[in-house]
Amino acid sequence: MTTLTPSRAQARQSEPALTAVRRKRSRVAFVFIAPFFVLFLVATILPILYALYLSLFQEHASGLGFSGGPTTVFTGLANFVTVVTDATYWQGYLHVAVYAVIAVPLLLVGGIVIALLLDSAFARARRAFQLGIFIPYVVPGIIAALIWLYLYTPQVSPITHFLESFHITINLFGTVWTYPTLANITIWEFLGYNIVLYYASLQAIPRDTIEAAMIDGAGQFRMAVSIKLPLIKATVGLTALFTAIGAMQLFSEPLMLSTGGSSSITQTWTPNLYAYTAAFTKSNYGVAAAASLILAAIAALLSVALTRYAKPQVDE
Amino acid sequence: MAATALAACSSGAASSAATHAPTLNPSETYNITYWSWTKGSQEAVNAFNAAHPKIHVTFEQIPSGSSGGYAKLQDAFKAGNGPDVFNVEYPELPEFVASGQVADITDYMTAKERDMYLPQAIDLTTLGGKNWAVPYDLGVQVLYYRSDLFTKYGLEVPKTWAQFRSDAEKLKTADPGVYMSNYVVDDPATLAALAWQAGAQWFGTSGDSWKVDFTDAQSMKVASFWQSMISDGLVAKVPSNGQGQIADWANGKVLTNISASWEAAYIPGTLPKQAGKWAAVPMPSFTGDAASGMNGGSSYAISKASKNKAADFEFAQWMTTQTKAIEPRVTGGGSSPYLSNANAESVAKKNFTSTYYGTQDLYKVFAASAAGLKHWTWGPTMTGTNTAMSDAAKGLTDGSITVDGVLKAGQADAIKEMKAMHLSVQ
Repeated sequence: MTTLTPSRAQARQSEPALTAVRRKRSRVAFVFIAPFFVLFLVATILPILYALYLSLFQEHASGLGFSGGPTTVFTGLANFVTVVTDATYWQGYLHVAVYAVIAVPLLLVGGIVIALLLDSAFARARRAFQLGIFIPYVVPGIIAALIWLYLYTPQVSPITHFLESFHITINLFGTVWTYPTLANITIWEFLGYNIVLYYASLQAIPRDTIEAAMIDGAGQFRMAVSIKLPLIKATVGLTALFTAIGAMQLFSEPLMLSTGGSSSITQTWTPNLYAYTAAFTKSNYGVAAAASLILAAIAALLSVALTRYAKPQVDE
Repeated sequence: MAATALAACSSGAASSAATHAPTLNPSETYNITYWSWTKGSQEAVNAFNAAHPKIHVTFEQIPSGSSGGYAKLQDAFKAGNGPDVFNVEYPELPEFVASGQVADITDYMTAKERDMYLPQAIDLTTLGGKNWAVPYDLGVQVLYYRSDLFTKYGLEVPKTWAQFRSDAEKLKTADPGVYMSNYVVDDPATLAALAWQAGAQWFGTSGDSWKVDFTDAQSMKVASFWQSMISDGLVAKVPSNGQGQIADWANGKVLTNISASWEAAYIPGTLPKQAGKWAAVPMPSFTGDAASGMNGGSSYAISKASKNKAADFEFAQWMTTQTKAIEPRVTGGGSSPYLSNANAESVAKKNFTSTYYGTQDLYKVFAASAAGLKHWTWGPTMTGTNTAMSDAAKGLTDGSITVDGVLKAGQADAIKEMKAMHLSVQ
């Protein structure tokens, strides 16, 4: 690319004009991105501030509690102390951690493998596969959990009946199957999303690179592992972040399984469920707000850590 | 009708609202909102609107209380747009009162008013010496069973829990895989009702303080009965309130449904292919005498924020006592409430018809059960405590908890929540 460099005199002349153009451009840009920031403020920032406010208060009554209703009392960090000293809350993180160790690698590795297969020369009917893999992502989480709930309920499930014909009795609601059954639902839901992202970034790899590799004698497998995979590291890093945060926020699947008959998933099984139960079962909004804020803080720390770790590879 | 109740109160909205209840102005039209999940509500509301040109009720259907209805009500009240009148079951009423959402209707519930309802019902809606709701129905315990399969297996209809157990043992040898019941006590409402039936008292008040004891002798008797049923493999390993339980009923793998009077209207919808196969008897007891706790049963509460309390009370009273309120609900078997008002109960008894149950007189069964209804007090934490017990009961499936452990978990949660609210607990 060649550019004509203006002489100093010409440059001095055009500077005010350039600034004016820049100012006009940024004003136009601002108008376009303002709606996002307005919505972001109203739907994300303000609720967080309200939650912070709620977390500082408690409802106190006295005696039997029937004389008129509770008073709202400022209690500072008392709700945070309640949450932090509650063993059930921290067990929620343990559950989520074990679940993440199982589900996140499967979601990432499985997604990469399938995306690379789709992109390779062996693939046929690419569009059909892509569509089929992506459809579960379109199904809302609660519906997905309900579908799998029916498939797990021993008395109703065709899977159980099929296994019984081979004299294998498995109780998919049992404690042993807790993590596999949960991971199964979320992998079914989100694998398609990861694959679409990986496939898109694989398509962005310039054809010259692929052709050069082919000329150098690389087979499909070698190409996938040594050429394509390193070039999509940024996308992998991004999906790793999304998947990890999604794992931390696990909510609708354990909720459906818990109320649907699971023998091991209680209604406070994940940190999000803990906050949900505090708010909508116990009407204790202060504790719910505190629990949610702590979860948000931990998720933010995790994101920062992951981004720092992924950064060196992104810059390459 | 309404005039007698209102005449007892002095008129004039200007007088202090604390001691004098507002009265209906005959020239004004009132618009009130009513939220409920109870069966037949829309029909009854239509009848009320037709009979009352000056009061118009707008009905909104909400999910059943424990499935999100109560959460919806609490959220709406917090947001300031809750309904004027709503249904609340007796276990959850103290919680709503303690959170300041319910209007004190002591001034409306004069002695004459209170006499219109069964004393146990009034008892359950009187908290801290004040009246908080108008009783509608009582969920007296009923044992529903598959009469055809009882005949097939030669089982006797149990009058005592010992007979229930011997039926279960007989089934185990006759046809393993078929059971009398599932865990039953993993449902906290049923566990409470069975403890109630046995004469337990989980909550009591001593002056201005609560007393909480889920592990008294009678509760432990119930716990050890059901624990031995579970440990000896006499119950179907399927949790309550799930699709698995319905499938077991549908496939004839579980022969009884341990529930209450209102369940009769739900069974035909859940198990449509079993018409004529289900029968009802009063719940077996430890002694064989009539004894019943309550599982469910709802009342009409008026929200504290309501601006039309006189109209609300008029509506609540009408819905719980008048013939035209009950007829559309029970005819055809759409609803089977055991009502706390004598007139309403006789209307329900006369008009409840259901081809599903054949010639059985279900209301005779309800009345027999109610004859043994015992005293009980609910504490102000039941939605949270029920969840704690339901979560703890999940361990019953693999034996990691026993039934008395579930009771202890419930007690611990109730005390914890009451202390968090700074109530006095002994």
